[in-house]
Amino acid sequence: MLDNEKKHLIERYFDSQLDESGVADAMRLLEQSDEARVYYDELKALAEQAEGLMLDGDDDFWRAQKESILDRIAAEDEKKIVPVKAARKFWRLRTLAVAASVILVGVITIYEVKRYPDFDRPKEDAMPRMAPAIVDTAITNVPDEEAVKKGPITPKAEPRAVEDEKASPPPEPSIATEQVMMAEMQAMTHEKGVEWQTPGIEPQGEGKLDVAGSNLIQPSMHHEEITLEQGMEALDRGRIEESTKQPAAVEPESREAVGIKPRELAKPETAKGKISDIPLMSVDELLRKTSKPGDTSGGEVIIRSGRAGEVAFVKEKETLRGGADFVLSDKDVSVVGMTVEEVDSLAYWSGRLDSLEIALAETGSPHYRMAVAKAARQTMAADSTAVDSMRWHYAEALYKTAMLSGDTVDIRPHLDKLSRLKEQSGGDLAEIIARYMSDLESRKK
Amino acid sequence: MDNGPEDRRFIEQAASGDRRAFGELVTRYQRRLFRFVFMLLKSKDGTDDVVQDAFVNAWQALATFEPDKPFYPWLSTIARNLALNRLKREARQTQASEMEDEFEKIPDRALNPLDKLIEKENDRVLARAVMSLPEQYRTVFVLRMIEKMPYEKIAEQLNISPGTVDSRLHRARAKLMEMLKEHL
Repeated sequence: MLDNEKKHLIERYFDSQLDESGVADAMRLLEQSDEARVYYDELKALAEQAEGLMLDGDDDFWRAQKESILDRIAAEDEKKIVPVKAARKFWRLRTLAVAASVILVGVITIYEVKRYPDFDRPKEDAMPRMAPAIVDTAITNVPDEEAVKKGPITPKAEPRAVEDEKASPPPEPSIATEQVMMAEMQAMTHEKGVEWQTPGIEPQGEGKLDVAGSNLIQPSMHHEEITLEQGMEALDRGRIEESTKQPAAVEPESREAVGIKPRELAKPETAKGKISDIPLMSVDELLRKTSKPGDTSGGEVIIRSGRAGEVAFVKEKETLRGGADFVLSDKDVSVVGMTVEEVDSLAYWSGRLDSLEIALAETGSPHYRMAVAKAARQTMAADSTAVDSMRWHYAEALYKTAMLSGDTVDIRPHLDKLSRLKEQSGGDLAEIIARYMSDLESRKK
Repeated sequence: MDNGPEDRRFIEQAASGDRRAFGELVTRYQRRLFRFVFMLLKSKDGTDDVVQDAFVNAWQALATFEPDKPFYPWLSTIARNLALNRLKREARQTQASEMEDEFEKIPDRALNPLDKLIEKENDRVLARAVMSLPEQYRTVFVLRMIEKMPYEKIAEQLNISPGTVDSRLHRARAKLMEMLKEHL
């Protein structure tokens, strides 16, 4: 009688589950044992019988089963078809609904944008980090310095869009906003013990701005502001929408609208010097001199705001071949929340010659100074005057941002760039840049 | 088993939506598949459901089937999965301890259809013996002896080790040998 172990050995041999030694053992067992051979034969018979086990039954059973299977298949196919048709139908309806929604939203958006061109202006209180963008620097309703001295200016409660509707005829622009901002900047720098002095620019008249009579900026050069995201999006498409075209008439901004709080305006006494003594360098002046502002009506605008006034200055290098490096890509940009890549991308995507406006504002906290840079794209001949103009802009930007930077910010890159600009410039501009550098050096000390 | 030329033609036609061609495939493989599933499930109704489901699933997935490959192993895999899932569901409703070591008796309700389906007496005896095995042993035996699956595949299918397959198969054979001694 075969024991269980030997039976198992033979079964595994039968199933080809043994290794060489196991096969040898099994074969030896089969050679030596009749019982083993009988068991092997029984296994073989069982396997053959199991394999040969066939279900016959009557044909009706199999035919019925087949018909049932085919009926189910047909039913499944029907199920497939019906929902697909329904789905397609609904898909079309959904597509139509989505398309209609998109069109509706687009129409509303266009209408609203036209109606409220500066709808996306950040609110000062709601978005303290965003610098109050300067929509344009041609502002007529800003009082002159005497008015500034008198006290705060009540911000207008009416939205700008309403003001826009009232704007007829367009007011004469002025650069008073610049003046106010520069006053603020001076106040800030004085807080830090830095004398604010913009060398090379003589105040108009008797050290004062001719606010009312200034016609430095024509309405046609006003730029609609767009956010950086909007600008980048448009730039990514390789172009900036024509929607940045300027309106024929723009109601000037209130000081509140440009981001200068009345409190700050009301305390020019915090500065060491009087406003009237502040030498003012206006970007508008620069534009007037060199940038042919009348040609900017179709210009594109890029706005970048950030802490401490770092700005990106965008310039197509083709135009200024061999000129200054107009891309501000120092590490300092990270201080203001703008990465080097962002700056570089702006530079990369920018078109021809751009103008640059820098607006400075105090947000209420001496530790949270803001600046707005507006780069206005415009066509300009790449003549020496234009190049000098851009160098001047850039030098000014470097100077201002360095002055506004915190004590922890290394301003050496600014000085290096200024030095390069100075080398590339000549005449008065070189002298101006030298003064910038001297001023910054004294601050550094 | 490789597909014959006719099989391949039917498969290609069925894959293009020809239900009649698929009907030919049903005719060819329904008995074999039914035998296999019936040995596992022991229930004619359950087997009928599983076989129908297997063919329907195969029809729906026929576009993914490569005609060069044998059809029945693919079909039986579908049926096996369905049958084993059904067994699992049924096992959850039954006390596992009751099934562990105690050989079952063939339910009477399974005998009648079996008698109708199997004409040869020896085959009936074998079928009854196999179906009297506990599920664990019966499943392994059917997969190995009827479907000719290798140990490893059985182990993978049942989520057990090949050693467990070996031991269960040994016990199933021992029992069947004892039951079928006079018929082998």
